[in-house]
Amino acid sequence: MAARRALTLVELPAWPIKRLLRLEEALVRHEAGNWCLVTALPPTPAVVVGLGGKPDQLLDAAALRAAPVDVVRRFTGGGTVVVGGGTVVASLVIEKGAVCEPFPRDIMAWTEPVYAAAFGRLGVDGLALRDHDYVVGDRKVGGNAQCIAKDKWIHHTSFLWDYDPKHMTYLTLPAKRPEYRADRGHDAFLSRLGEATYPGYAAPAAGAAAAWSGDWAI
Amino acid sequence: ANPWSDENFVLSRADGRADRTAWAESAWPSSTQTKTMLRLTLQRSAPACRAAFARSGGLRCLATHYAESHEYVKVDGETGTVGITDYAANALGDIVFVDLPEVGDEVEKGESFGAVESVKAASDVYAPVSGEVVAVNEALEDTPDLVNSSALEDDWFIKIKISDAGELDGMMGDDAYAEHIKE
Repeated sequence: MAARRALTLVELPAWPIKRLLRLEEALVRHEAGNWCLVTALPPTPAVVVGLGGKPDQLLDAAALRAAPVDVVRRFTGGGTVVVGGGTVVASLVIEKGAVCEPFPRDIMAWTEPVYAAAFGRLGVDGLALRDHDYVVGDRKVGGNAQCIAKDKWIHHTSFLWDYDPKHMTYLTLPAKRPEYRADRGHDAFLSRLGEATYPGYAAPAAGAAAAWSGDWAI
Repeated sequence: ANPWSDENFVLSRADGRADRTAWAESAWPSSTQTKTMLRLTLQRSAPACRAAFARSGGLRCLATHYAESHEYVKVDGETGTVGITDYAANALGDIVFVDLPEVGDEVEKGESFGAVESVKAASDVYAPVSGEVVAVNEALEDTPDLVNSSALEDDWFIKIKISDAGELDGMMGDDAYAEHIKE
């Protein structure tokens, strides 16, 4: 039997998003090994913009003036999200050469069965990759972003266990959007994973560990 | 006197005839053609040319060199034009943002000098040689997808004043890079 690669699975209860992003970047750039972080974010909402995102085009300035929240720029690519209570961030920090070619589409394709198996254990069947999102049916349940650095890459996902619809007013309808979204607004496009599983947040790490224990030494 | 001026160079063809016109009209010859032309030319060139050629570091100075991480540097004298290869641009997908240093910044071989964003991924780009940034391609700020449409032409990232031409040793030429991306 081939030796399994070591994966360190870490659950971070209620870590704020800015601290989590700093930890992730440190693991990508300065720490050896393969990591999976599972973080249920605290209730305080925050807007998180990708590396090249233009806030003047992506954010509703009037909504932010009316109810200010932190706006954080992350080191990975991808779109703009509102995170807070109900968001579970899963971060895969993997050494180059460990699992797939270090290019965006290869990484995305590798993660699909990984998360499909993990969520299957939680009773969520049919989680799939569509364009660059995780969906159940035609509704988005998780958004992805990546950074590919010298020796490692990170693929992190904000899974929507729950969300507050009024927080979505911080975001404009993006000019570039996946074809499957069409012109749907946030409520018609997104779905809550918590409605398919159960309200508690303790399950993601346990589900991931159970699903992956055959391939990784956790 | 300019040892590199036309009268000191005569392009010699395999049949022994000299053809000055071919040299004057050639644009960016491939690395293999360049090496062939220079080897043949040295057989006839003035002593001053040979000395100048030796001082310049030889064949390194008229070629495109490639790093394993898919950056290239196109060398012209002391200046290197840096970007990512067509292979890398295709593998990354549609480029939506390019993060570049500023003129005057120092870059170090093997260290990140910027990043490209393609849809969901931010990918670091690494300096293939060390030196000072003397120009930045500002067209990429408004038109980052130039990287996809014209790799190795208009989509260069930065120009560097190379501080150590010896760092080009060990980099891949056209043929070796073509083999590298097949693997």
